[in-house]
Amino acid sequence: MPNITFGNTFTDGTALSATSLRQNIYRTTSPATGLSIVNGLLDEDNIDSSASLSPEHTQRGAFIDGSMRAATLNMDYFDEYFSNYTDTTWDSTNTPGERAIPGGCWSDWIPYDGKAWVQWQIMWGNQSTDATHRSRIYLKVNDTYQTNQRRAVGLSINSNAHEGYRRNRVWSGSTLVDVSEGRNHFGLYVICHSGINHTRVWARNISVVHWRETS
Amino acid sequence: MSWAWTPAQDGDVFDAVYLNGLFSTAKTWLDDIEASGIREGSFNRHHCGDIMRDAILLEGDESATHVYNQSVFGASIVYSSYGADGGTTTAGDLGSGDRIVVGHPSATGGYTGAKAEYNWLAPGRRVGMANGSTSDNCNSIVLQGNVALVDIDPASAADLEFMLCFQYQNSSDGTWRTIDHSERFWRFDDKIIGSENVGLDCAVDAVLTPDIFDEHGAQATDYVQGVRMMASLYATGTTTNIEFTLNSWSMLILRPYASDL
Repeated sequence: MPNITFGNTFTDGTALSATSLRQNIYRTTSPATGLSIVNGLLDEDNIDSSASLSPEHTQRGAFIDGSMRAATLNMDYFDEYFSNYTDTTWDSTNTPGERAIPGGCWSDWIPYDGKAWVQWQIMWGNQSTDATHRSRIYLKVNDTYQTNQRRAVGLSINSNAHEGYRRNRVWSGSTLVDVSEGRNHFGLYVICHSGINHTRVWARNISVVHWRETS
Repeated sequence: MSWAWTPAQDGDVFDAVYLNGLFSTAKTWLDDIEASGIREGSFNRHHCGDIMRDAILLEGDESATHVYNQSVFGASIVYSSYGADGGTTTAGDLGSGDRIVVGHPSATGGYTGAKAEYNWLAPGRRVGMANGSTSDNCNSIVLQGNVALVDIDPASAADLEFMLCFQYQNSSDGTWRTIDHSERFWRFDDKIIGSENVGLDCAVDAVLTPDIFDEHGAQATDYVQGVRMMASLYATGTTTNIEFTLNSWSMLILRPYASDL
C-alpha cells in the first residue's frame, strides 16, 4: 500500500456529510484508502526514506535464531541394542537398531522456510578388536540419512581397553540444511557392529542456528 | 520524530480549511514515518528480509578415498613458509605452492567430484560495512570446514603435521591468499601412527573480515572472487614421497548481510 489517498476533500459552503467524513477515516473498500491503511496495510512506502531502523525495532528471532543441546553423561551401548547388526559397510537404507543419542539431538519448531546451520561435536570409542567391527555415528535430518555426515571408530587393536588414540574419535562436524516451517529434527545416531561388546559416547553437543529465506 | 498532534481548541474556526488540514497532517506523518515513530520490537520475521546474502555448502562424499601425494606437492610444508599463499586449483599441480585444494587430489586419487572451492560470478562480492547497502555487500564471510583424515605417509617420519586452512581470491590481482590465522596443524609422530590408519576428523573455521581483506586490497573497490579450503602435510626431514588421504569433507560459506545505513 503506497502513501495515503483521501477520497474526499471538503469545501466551505458544502454540507459536511457524515459519510464523506467517515470515508476519510475508515473505508473498507479494496484497496483501502484514507486512514484505514493503519490497520495492517502500512508498508515500506510509508517509512521515511531517511529512517534508520535499528535491531531494536525487530523482535527477537526475526532475522536469526538458534539453540543448542548438550550432555556429558557417559552413554554405554551394548551389542544387544543393535539387533545383531553385522553390516560392515555403510548402508543408507538399512540401519536396524540405530539409537538416537541423548544430548546429540535437536528437535524444535522453526517458524519459517529457510536454512539451518547445524554444528555438532561428539566423542566416542569402543573396545573392538576387529577392523571391520565399527561403532558408527551419523547425522539424520528429519529422519533422512546424511550420506556425507558419518564417521566410525573401531580399528584393529590388540587390546580390549577403551583407552588409546586409535579407538576413540572426536568429530566436530557441520552442515547446512534447507528447512521448512514446522518441527524439524537433527540428530546424531549410533549403531554398532554386533561383534563390539561395548561402545561409549562421551561429551556431545549439537547446535542449530536457523534463519528465514524469502527467495 | 513521532507525530505531534495539535488538538482542536475552543474558539478555532472549524471550516473546510481546518478540516482538510487535519487530514493533511495525518497524511504527511503517515506517508513518511520516521524511526522514532516506530515502537521497538514492532517488526517480526514477516517484515524482515534475509539475514544471509549467501549460505553455501560444499561437500565431498566418501564413495572413494582421495589421495594427495608428493608428486603433486612440490615440497613438504615447512614453517619457514608459514603463511604462504601457495596452491592452485589445477589437479595434480601445486606449482610453487605447498598446499592443495581439498577435494582436488592428485591423479592417484582418481576423484573428479566436488572440490572445496567456491567462485562468485564476476566481479565477486564486497566485504565490509563501508560499502553501504550495495546488493553485493556483506559484513564478513564465515568459513567452516571439516575433513576426515584417513591416513598420512610416511609413518616413519619423526614428525608429521597435517594442515588445513582457508584462502580467498582478491579481484584486484586475482591472487589467492591464505587467511593466516585459519591455518590449523594436527601433529603426529611415528609411535602413534605406526602402520595404522589415522582416522581423525579435522575441523577448521575462520571469518574473512574487512580488516583482513584490506591487508592486500581495498574493501570499497575490490571484490572477493572466491574462497577455498586447502590442505597440506609437513614431514620433518622428508621432502619426497609424502602423502595424505582424505575421505568425507564439507565446507560451509555464510555471507551475513551488512549495511551502514
